[in-house]
Amino acid sequence: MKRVFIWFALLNKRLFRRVSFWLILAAVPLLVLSLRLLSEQESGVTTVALYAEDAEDPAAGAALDRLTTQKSVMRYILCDSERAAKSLVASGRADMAWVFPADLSARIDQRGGGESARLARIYTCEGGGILQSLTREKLFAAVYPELAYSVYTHYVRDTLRPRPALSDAELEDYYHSIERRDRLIELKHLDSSGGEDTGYLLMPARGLLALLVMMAALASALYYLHDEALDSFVWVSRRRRRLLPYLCHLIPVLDTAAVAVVTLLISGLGGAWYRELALMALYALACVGFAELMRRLAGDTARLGVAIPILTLAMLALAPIFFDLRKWRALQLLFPPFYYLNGVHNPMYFGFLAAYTLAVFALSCAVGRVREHIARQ
Amino acid sequence: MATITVQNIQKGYRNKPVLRGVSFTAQNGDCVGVLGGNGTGKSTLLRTLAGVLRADGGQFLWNEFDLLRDEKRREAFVGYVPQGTPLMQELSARDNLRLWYDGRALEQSLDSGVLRMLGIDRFLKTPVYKMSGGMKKRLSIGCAVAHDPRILLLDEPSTALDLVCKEQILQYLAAFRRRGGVVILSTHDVQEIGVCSSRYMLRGGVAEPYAYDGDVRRLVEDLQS
Amino acid sequence: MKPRFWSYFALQLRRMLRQLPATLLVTVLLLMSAGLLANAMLEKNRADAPVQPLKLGMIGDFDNEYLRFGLFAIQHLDPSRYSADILVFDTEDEARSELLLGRINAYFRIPDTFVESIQRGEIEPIRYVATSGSVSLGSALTDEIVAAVGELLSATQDAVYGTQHLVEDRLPKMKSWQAGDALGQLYIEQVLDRAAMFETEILDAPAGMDLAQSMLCGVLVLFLMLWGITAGGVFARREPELAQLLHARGMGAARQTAAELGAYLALLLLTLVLIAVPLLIGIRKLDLEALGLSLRSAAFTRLSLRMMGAALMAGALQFLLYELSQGVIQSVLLQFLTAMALGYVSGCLYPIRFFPEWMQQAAQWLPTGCAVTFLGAGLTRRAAPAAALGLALYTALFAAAAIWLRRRRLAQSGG
Repeated sequence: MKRVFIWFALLNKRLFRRVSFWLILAAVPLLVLSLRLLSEQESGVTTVALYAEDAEDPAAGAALDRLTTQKSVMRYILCDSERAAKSLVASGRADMAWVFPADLSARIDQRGGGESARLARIYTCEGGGILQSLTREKLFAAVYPELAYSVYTHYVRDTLRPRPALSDAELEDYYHSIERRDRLIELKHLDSSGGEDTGYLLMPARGLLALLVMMAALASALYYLHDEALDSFVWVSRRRRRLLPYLCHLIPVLDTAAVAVVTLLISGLGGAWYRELALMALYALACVGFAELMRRLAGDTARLGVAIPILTLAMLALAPIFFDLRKWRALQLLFPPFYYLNGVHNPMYFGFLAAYTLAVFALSCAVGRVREHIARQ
Repeated sequence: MATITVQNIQKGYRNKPVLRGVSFTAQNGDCVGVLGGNGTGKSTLLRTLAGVLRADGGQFLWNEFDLLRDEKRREAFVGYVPQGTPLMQELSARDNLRLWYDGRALEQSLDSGVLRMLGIDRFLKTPVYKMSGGMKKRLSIGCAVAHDPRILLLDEPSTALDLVCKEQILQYLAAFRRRGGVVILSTHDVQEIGVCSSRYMLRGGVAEPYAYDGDVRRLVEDLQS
Repeated sequence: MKPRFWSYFALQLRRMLRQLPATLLVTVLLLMSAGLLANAMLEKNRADAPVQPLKLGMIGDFDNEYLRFGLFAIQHLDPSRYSADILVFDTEDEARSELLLGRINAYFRIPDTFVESIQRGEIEPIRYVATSGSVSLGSALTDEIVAAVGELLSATQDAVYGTQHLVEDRLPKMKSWQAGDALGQLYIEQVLDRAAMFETEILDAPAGMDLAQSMLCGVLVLFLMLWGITAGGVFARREPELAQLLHARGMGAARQTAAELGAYLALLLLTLVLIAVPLLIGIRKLDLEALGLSLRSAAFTRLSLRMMGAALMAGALQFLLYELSQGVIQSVLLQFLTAMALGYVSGCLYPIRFFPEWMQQAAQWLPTGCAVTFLGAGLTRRAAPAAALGLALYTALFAAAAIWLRRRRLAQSGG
């Protein structure tokens, strides 16, 4: 056991003797913190230019206020004129412009009474897409409270007609008789934790950190093949040589994993430190097993070198870093980052990751035995 | 009875045979020199005996144990110094030694053992990438004998070394032989050939006994033939 | 005899060409992966994408007029794109395992005391679980939609229950639930009619790439950047002694580096040509229209030629990174980190319009940003001279930096 620690320490020392390794590890938290600063600035997946012809109109004012003060992945730019709003769209600086007419409140009242009326003008360049759908629903939701109130008042006064007639104040009292919550529907994760407060620009950081740890493992596998070709492990007993690759991969993986955990915690992306540590530790083992499996399957530096960028792009696409491709679930299950990222808010995936780790280690051992057997033939 | 019997070693790469049945014997204290031109299979023979490559056939007998099949004994009693530099470039001499020696054994060897004999105690803090060829070779030998082997396999140990360094290595090998160890080395070096107690020429995948009388010209002709 | 530049270049070229079969394989597979990635990213965004059934789980008692309105709102969220199939589960565990298996997109958990809470005059929140555990932009967009639906529900809730209380107080002969139902129906009609509430005018598209084009170019640049990892096996095994020997024989750092870099770039370009030519020949058979692009052979030719220009810059950067880092692990990590960092802020992963405005401007000056702009100009048939110049300057800068590093290393080793 002592010998294992000595090897661990010396192989780690070997890595840290290279200044470039220090620089790479130091760059990681700096990059993520920079990303954090970036995510705190004004940005949006869609940019909408807003203009109200009469800002004093209560409905228009309420809609603008609702749009610009609520937390959203969309960005809103208040404009001084309709022309300014349109020119933002025409120049590509905004995806859409919404113009609320001067008599918005009156038009809403017309709608509430069952008449047709246009509540806003939309200027856009593109014809479709999921983001366009989202923005239309946001616009509807922005004017809906006033519309709902108008429908309510018209229904009470025109259809129910209680006697004596209710005053505006009484109508309002009944309308607000239910205690309001900020959010009626709460987004929850499977571990009952709440929705993320993380900006969408920072969201992929965890996934990219996970990929970095995986890259360290794959690079180590390449390095091991390189070392093997140079006879660096020629004095290691055959029995120990079965375990040596795992130890060699574990070193850079633990280094990058440690930096990843620290980065997550200091950037505010991480949860409880013990959970992050436990999940990352298990993920690190899974990466070690996966890398060793790839090394044994590839067999030489040329083949592994070919495989690494393909694996990288595959994991970038399949792991739920930017989006979750559910229809490729079978492929997603092949790669460790999928389990790690899902394990952040779903305790069951911790168990799945443990099972995956065992499976990948077992498979790498099996492949090793098969290769040895073939070599003996 | 011979201490070591190398019997009918066969090894090929992708159906191309390199060793077609190499056989020789050696006693305690012997130094066997394996000669041959480039590409005749000297390194292949040593790597096969060291267990780095799997033999296609044959035996490597030591005290009736077949070291090709008895991994445990082979790892305990055979030391191998490959042709290249199997050292961690970024680490110092001491750190490289720590990979293979226990703490106390390392200090004892540096004080009065094989490491001192090889002069490694003089460049302990030097990282490998800053070492000369001679320093690297001596360090490689020092690492290879950490487990105190009885049989030492060396692949062209004095390639690109200066005379002083060669002499140091030869003195070490002489001491190793005096303790009863067996040395099997492949070499092109006239000095090394001279100190071998028996010599074999690898030709056509077979080892033929070779009598060397100091005639270098004849040796060259024989190597070329 | 002094080694000649072209001899050394030919030697390096031969060495690189030995990697050609593996490189071709990697490039084809990478391009396919990149194509799948781009297709997946754009699939949901396409106007002609088929109606996608959302499978939503429901747990709890939702048999009241208010929640029925909510269900209706969800089911009719952008009817042009989605249809929602509601699946009722007895327990949350059942819904959870269906979510884990990917059989449902999300589930709503209505609290058991929801109806009682209404009668008390307060509302307990409905829990919405939409991911199997991961958090991404997709979940952020889902949250946004859920918030919008929540706004509708809250306003409707106020009105429906306000009306019911009013009827109970002021119209005792009337059944309050009937009033609530009727009002709910009016709201449903508003939801159905919402497309008619807004007047839409389509303006001329601005000059520049649309979302699909920008994402395609981004993925292609990312592919070029990741391609550099393949060369790790070649560059990480370079012998410093050869560089010292060449220097001693009169071939300095500049010519050595130029020969090696030239050979590497030649390999890159040759690989792209070998892939582009057959693709060009078979372009009509490819369903590039499915990417939302009308990519004719002329546009493909322009894109391919521009890919080569971008590849020169990417190759020079990768070469510089290999000169900077020593060791296989450092090389691979540095290539990956650089590709991800530069690619991310240049719009190779998220569209650049997702970033703050100043970042969108700044990204155009980054090497990867120049590459994206340069490629995109091929699709939009523009010249993009600034991007071309930027690429050329960056290529020269990276080559010069590589030469400087080599010179420094030779000087340190006594060469």
